[in-house]
Amino acid sequence: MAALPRRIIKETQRLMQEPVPGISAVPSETNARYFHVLVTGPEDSPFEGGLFKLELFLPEDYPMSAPKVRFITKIYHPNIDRLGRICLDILKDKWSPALQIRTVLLSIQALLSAPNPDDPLANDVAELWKVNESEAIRNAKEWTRRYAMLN
Amino acid sequence: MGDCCCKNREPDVFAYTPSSTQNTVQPEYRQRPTKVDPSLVDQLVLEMLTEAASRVDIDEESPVSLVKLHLIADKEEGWLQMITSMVNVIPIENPFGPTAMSVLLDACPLPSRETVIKITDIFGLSAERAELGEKNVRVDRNICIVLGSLAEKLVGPNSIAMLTERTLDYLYTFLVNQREACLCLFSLITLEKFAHTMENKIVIKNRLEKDDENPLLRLEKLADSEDYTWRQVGFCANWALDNLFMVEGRKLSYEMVDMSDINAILNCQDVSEYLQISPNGLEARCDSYSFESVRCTFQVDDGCWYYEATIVTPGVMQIGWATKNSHFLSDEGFGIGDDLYSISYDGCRELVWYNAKPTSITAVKPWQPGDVLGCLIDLTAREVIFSMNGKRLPTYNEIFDATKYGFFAAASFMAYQQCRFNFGREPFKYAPEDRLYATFNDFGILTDEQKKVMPRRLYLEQLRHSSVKEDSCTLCFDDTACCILEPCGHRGFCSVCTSMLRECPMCRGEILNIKREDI
Repeated sequence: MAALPRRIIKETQRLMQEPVPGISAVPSETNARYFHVLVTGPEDSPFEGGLFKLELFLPEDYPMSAPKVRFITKIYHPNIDRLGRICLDILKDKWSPALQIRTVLLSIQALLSAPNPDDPLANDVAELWKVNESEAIRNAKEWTRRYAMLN
Repeated sequence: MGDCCCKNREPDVFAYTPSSTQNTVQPEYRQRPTKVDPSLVDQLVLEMLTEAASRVDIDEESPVSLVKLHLIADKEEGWLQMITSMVNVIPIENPFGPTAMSVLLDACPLPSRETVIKITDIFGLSAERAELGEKNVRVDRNICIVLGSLAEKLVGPNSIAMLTERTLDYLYTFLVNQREACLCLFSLITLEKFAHTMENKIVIKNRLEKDDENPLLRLEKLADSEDYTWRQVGFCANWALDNLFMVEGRKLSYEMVDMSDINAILNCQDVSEYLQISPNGLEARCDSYSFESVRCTFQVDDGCWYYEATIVTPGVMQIGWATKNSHFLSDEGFGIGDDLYSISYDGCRELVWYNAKPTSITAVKPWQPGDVLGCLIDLTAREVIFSMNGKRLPTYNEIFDATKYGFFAAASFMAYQQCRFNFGREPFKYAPEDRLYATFNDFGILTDEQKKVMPRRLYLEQLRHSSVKEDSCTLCFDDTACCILEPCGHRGFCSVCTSMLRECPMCRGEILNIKREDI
């Protein structure tokens, strides 16, 4: 069945009425399951000052299965690969239908504040993050400047 | 299977299982010089296109050409080279061209904002260029597709930056001069994609209203055109006027269309989100890169039934029969014919699809605009028979192993595909002669409410205003909460959701028993 669950409408309304600070998630005008997401890089992280675009899609069996999320803006992060795919447990085996779009986006924001090179997706980035953290952070700042800043 | 290539994109762009291949290719890419021989890039793009057309197996590995193009496009200069090659070499006649372009754009990370915006300069987009459009239809069509894909991906500030005055002039000129149907069509679709960003939508709407007559009002009259490209232009213009660029004083199409003799239509409540349905509910079109599906309103449980689909575009569509158990996994490329509960014919690749497995058909040629696909289901004899322009394809009956009744006419569409259904309202072109059959239109009953093919935005608006009861299920908000999970004791879930749970959504505790609350 492909009818739109009320759940999606409810979540969307709440996202618009009480947005998460630093995150904007706007549903596509023609597709209620597809969200354009903008996340600002958290303060005191190498991503500070950047504005990152992500796409979020609610599959047919949402909320029984997790939203599909990926970064469109390039980002230098040990848990995000070249294609923007995110390594985050709640997007895979730790998903629960009690979680929401809001909780997913908050987790992604938290992942930007606290990269976890021990559970890597981008192996070369994770490696550098472990052996030479200051250089990795320099790279992350450089990528943020290059790909995620408007001016 | 819908978008064979998409399903193979390295491996799935959304999945995040670490891929070992990425490490092995890494050193090579570090040593590679920035500039690659342009003819090599052209060749890789063409290879990728050939592979895209011939691949149907989901388990195959990514084509070599795609992997190589990834590496090239990883550098700013390389990305621009890839875009230029796509625009220059992808032939207009190849039905896989648009898909191949989108696969490439999707599989290659976007470069910096400056580089992306640069492409509008590189191609020299302007009204003057558009005036010369018919001299090189291929290149301009491909430019439109690339711009549209990027606008869709970059909704927000970058999409605004790309829609410069010159870009808008370029696209708008194709729309008003109406010399080349194909360019008129793709410039319109691209404008629709830019309009996903609100600021762009306002700018485009203002431009459409600047002249004495909004060109879309003229173009929507072509929706019944005998020429299949102009017909698509008409469909898109009509959809845009109802959904995106509304004109004051123009009534919405669903309020105007005569539905008096229509008793079966494509079901607006049973369709994946991006599919566009005509106001009379009998024609459908997809312009997004997901594999969009729809079912008809009429269910068949016994006897013999027949309908026809007129092919408007020659690309990949999978048209046939599906039960409600068939899932529309549009983003994963699964549609009608890709599970145990549906069967379809794809006349572009000449394949019958059942359970995501293709069977080759050699008896007929690939379908072309104007061709008629006949779809017959005989629940007594347990047979499904497709025909192309009256020529019968082999009989299929495997689907009846899983299901005996509850079938609907159904179809899936790849990007830029369109077809028109005849559920019996008009005489059939190639009616079956060997058996008695019935039509949905003769037996269907639709209320006035069910006949309304309302623009999606109005439907969503209605949903938004519908209230949610206090005792609703906390997971779907559709049904009443009536179940308690034991032993943890968490409650607030309906029986439908509970039946799908493997563990408690609140505490992840094991579910040993489900107790119904007295309601």
